[in-house]
Amino acid sequence: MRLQVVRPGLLTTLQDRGRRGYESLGISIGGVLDDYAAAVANRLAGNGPDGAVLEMTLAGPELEVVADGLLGLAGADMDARLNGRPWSPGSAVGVRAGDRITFSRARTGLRAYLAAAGGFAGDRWLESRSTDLLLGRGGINGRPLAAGDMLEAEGDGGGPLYLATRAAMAPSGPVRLLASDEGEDAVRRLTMDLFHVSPRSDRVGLRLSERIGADLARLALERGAAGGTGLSEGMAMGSVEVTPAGEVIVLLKARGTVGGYFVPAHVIRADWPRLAQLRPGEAVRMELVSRDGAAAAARELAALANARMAISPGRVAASITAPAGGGVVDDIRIGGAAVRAGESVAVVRQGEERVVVFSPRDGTAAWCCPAQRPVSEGDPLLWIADP
Amino acid sequence: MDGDGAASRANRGDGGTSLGGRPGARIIRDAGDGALRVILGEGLDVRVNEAVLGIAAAVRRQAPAGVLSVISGYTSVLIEYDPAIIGRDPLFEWLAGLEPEAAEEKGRVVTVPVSYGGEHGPDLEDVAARLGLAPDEVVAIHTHPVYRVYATGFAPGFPFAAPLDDRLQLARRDSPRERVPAGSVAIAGRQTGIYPLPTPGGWHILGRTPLPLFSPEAAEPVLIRPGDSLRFVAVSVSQYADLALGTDSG
Repeated sequence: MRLQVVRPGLLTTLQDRGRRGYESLGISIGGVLDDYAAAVANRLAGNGPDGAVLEMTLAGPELEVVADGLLGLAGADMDARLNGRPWSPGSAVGVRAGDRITFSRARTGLRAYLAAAGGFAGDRWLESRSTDLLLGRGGINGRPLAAGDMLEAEGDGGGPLYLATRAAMAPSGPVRLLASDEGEDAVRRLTMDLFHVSPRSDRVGLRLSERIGADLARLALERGAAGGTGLSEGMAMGSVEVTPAGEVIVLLKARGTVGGYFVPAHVIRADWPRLAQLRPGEAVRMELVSRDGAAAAARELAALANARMAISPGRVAASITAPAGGGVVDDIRIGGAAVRAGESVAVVRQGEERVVVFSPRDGTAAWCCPAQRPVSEGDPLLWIADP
Repeated sequence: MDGDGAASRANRGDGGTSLGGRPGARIIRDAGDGALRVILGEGLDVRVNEAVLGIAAAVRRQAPAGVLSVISGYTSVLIEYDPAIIGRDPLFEWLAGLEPEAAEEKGRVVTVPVSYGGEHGPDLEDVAARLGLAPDEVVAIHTHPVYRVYATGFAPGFPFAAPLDDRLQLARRDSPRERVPAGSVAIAGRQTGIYPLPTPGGWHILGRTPLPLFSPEAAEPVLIRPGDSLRFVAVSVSQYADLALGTDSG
């Protein structure tokens, strides 16, 4: 599989699950900001969780397929299209040389993830393909995608092929917090007020536009790491920092490894994907949860990630299988596309012979076998979900 | 493995000062539902920091499945974990009983040549004036001790070294610089440090070293690690230029 970048989008970088083992030397861990969506995209493409994916921010790229392959898409809805036809996040498509994939501005969420079967190749720096934008290392020459870049997959995935899902993105909602030992006063304030995402937010941290009161800022000065002595200590993903000036910053994957500000609370793991999907200017409401509440939220999200992968038979209105074997799939309808009863949805090509496959009913193509994949008689080609 | 750790611990410089074998001396706190912080004491204290590095080394070496990152600071070790792989309670118990191990490498003494003042140390005159010292005295005081590197962070390979002599203590600059040149040797509070790459910075810049602290393509990308010691040596501008040429070609 190979893709050429026609337009790079606003900020598109190659990311995997991050660079680990060098954090005590001050090298940021980095990696995909939305673990949930990146994992969904990888599984749709038949990859394990370590496949490197494209992280697209706010407005996605335009890509031309140079060599065939299979792609999975999840996260923000950027009105993705394959040759002009809509392609829903949460589904996989087989693509062929000459196909054109376009993304527009995100309609919901901020970051979308594109995975290719086998995982995208990229520069490995300190054992990770994640792009570190500050250091200019990893990924595609240590920088965001640029027009003309060629992206290649490293293999063909090989994992089981999954289908489509309704949960291409973790559900939105308030950002849930666990208070730290000395953070209760500050947490009360954080959960009372409505905040907004500052446009100065980035992969390092989600900054809030509103400051909290001078009283809490004073507390922040007194209670910085190690009791306000200014000594630097390790900083966890999701830490809610309050600076002496009253600024609130939620630390994300590309954060500095150590810090010394007051951390009254931490965002629960289940809501890290929410942090990744909050848009500049968007309202943020924070909510205090118990440890049990955090554990329950983690279980719910894990169940959602797994449930979506096995479409329940009741939801699949029709499963179309190959009527003949010994050929390759061609002209197949992409996931997310609307289909009508009697419409041609795929072709199985055996040399010169073409066996046309028709849809038995109206619905939405829920998943498709990648184009050019050899099939045997009875292999699943396409699932049609209720419209 | 435990036996080896204890033996090498006893061989380290400040014999008998480690917290090893006294797990009661540590406090473990949750940092959200994906991290635990092991606190081994407070303040600027060599013994506390040795215990920090010992625990960090032990976690790194024994690396239970589900541990995602290990970050050592001045007084604590932050351990991020995946609760789907390792539960919080078993990890907590394991950390509570964990014996510190000797650091991966014995701390080295790194000699840091510094061109003080002038273009390389734009704050030297001002620092001297504010402290009521002559610039030469500031240099003499700064080059006198051997500093311990307590932590590395802020930028890759930035050493947080201490303790700075009481006579040189100043709060950070009122307004941070937007871009501090790589190699800048600076002070703030009780600490001294070196900027490994051009970044914003709020410390007072006394001079500059040609030593490359961060070499991304090298097998060991970071020159100075926690537990190392630093000795600053004043060099002239022309010596600085010679050394800079030497490190470029090397």
